[in-house]
Amino acid sequence: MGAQAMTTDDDNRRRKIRTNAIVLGLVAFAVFIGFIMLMGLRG
Amino acid sequence: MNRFWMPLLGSLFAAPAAHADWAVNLPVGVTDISAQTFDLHMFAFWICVGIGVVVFGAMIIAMFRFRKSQGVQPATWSHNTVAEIIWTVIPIVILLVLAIPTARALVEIEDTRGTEMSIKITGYQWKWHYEYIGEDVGFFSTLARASNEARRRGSNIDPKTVPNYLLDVDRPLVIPVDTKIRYLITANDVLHSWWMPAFAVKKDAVPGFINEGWFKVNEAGTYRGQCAEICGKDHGFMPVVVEVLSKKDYAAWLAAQKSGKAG
Amino acid sequence: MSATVADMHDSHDHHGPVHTGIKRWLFATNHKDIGTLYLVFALVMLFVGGLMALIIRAELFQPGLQFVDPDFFNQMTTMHALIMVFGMIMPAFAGFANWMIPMMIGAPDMALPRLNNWSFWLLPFAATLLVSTLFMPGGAPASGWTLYPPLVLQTGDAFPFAIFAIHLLGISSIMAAINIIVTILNLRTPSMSLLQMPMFVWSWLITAYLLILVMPVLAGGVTMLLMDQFFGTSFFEAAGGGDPVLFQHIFWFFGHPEVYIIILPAFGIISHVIPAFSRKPLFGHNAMVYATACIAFLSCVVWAHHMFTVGMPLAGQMFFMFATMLIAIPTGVKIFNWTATMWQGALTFETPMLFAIAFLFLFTIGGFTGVMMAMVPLDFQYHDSYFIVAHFHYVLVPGALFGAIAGCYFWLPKWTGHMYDERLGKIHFWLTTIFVNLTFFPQHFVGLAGMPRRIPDYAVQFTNFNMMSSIGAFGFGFSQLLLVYVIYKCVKGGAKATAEVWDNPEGLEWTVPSPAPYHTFEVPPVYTPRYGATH
Repeated sequence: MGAQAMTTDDDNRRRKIRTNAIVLGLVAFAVFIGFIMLMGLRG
Repeated sequence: MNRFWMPLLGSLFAAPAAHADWAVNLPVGVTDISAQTFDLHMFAFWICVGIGVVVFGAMIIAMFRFRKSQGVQPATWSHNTVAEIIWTVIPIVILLVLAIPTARALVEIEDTRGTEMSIKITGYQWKWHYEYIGEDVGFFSTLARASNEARRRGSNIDPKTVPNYLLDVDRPLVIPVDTKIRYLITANDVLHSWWMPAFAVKKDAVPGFINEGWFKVNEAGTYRGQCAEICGKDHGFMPVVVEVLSKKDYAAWLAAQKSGKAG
Repeated sequence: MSATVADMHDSHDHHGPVHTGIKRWLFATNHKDIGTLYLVFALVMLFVGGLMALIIRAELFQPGLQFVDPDFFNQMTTMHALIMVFGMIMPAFAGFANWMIPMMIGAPDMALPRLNNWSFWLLPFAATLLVSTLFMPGGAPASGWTLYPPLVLQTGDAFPFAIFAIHLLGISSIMAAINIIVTILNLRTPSMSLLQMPMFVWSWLITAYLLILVMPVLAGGVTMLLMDQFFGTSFFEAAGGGDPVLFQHIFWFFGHPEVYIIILPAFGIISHVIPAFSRKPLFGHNAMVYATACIAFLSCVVWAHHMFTVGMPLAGQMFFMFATMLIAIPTGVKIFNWTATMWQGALTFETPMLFAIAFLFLFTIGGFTGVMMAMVPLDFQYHDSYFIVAHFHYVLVPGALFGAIAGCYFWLPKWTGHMYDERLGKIHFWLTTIFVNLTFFPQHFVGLAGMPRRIPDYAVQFTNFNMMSSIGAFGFGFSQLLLVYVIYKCVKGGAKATAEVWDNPEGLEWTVPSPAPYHTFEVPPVYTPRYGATH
């Protein structure tokens, strides 16, 4: 991450930000669904 | 206005006379476990006081000695490995000192062997039901009538004139002294919690499940507690009252119950 | 327009908001505007939740029922907690995060500005929905904020609406957390290493991970409640093979990390205020980072200490007792490090520092009662009594809330460009601190003497301390009007603040002018640690 990377057309950075955010969002959703399924299965 | 402020002023000035109004600590209680709990509580309290004296002392000294107004130059250090090790290790030691007697007490509390009789406690919205297992005796215990009238909004009854306001029931649980009693506890509708401070007993009543525990009371008398788990609108109005009788009186009481006479 | 920060860069020739009037706020994507929205919202909610607290304290002023019915009283205790936790303190710290994190790490804005807008604008609607349940048939949930079944299933028509409000608040928090993590990891100025990040940024990074881990669990738990109520499942219904205690495990798996989600950002703010007014670097910066991470980890494995009385196996009680006690160690490290930061400094006592010092003393008292409560036999006596009410209010009010107020006074000049009225600030501090202790200290006593929590009426021997507590609560509540006035006055005018505001504090946020320009750090600044590379 150099100072040069902070320009408008830095698609890589934009992509990385999006990927990070999507991964974190999916983690949250997986915890949500996974937890309910786990609790449902335990009986 | 007077009704609102006079109790306040009265309590501030005439208070030392009414001892119970200023109770600030746990009761010592009337079981070995409650006495042990009280000792542990005081032990933890004094350790906290000790830590407080050192930590707050250091903060207060820093606040007085290192003021800019006294022309001190700030130091620039931000590290001291020895100090950091010391204040990590000392808390570990203190916690061990606290944890060992606590664990020992806990093992004793959970030891339900050798009980001499069993009662079943069931929580209802908003009353308790007591059943003497194997004796065919059982009854509900609800808030006493005097309290129940005074607690209504707009009743115009001064709670101070009601004996044992909110801590009195129509029929208390009656048990013998010096007897290791096992209790089984459950609930019929929602969660409740049976709390008797003098015995150091608090156990949740869970619908569909049965919890157990025990107590052995050393002194005859009447003891009062309350439901401790929110259970709906009258959660504050389902007290726990236990009357502890001598073994002889208890036997007589039980016989009277069985023969259907009022106890 | 793209959803990333690069857009903000496109518009760097604008030196102010693109929109004016109400549109500036509705369509806000600037981190400073959204930060302001969060903070104003939190301040409004402080008074909404505070009003409910005052209704509770008015009823408890003396024994007997004077003002409200027991059911409404229970609705008040439930709503007071939900609003203060989800509507006040979490948005307040999200506001600080929005305002300060980009400025502290030399980023031009948050990484996902439009997601940021959505995160905020969910809140007013969710809060309105939650408050509106008070006016529905059957009233608001009256089961306590812990929403334990089966009692919570007795809620009237409001039940699904309350669950939906909690879902919305949770989604808002998760999105804010994602945004904060992504911003910190991707938009930090290249010359700042992870370990060099300021403590507030570190605290929030760890908090955000906790949020992503536990908010979905709460969402799952309340969804299961919803399914039990409407779709015939029996997750928590013994008759159908479920277990009411299961919900408590789920709730506290969320609920215990939640208390650290609330307190860690306050720790972060205190770690800035104390060094600034001690004129000395924060003691043991790296140790503080590790301690914070350690607290966050431990907070995930101690949940059942909230439920020692539900009937747990002995081994379970032992595990949760020891794990809980362990938390005292990293927390102790933090308290000692703050004290060591003051040691041999050159202290002055402006309002933020006063609140930070009060935080140190009063949070520590909350910590002491916390250790006592970890000891299971003692917890049997303390649990669900006013002792626990005193404990958690000590860590939440003079803990988390004082952290937020300290941060507010500390950065207000940076936000507005004006110095706040120091004399009024000090008066606010003394009133607040005296009344907060008058409110909550006597609650220790009635709790030990046997008063259960969440009761609308009490036995007469608890009267004296309850009166004191109620007087304190009203004093505390009205003192906060002074805070509003100080903020209002500071926004409107006052002595001009310099870029540094205070006496040479450390951090990138003090290198930009006051008030901070609408766009800062469009080119990443060069960060040079003041006290050598290792801190």
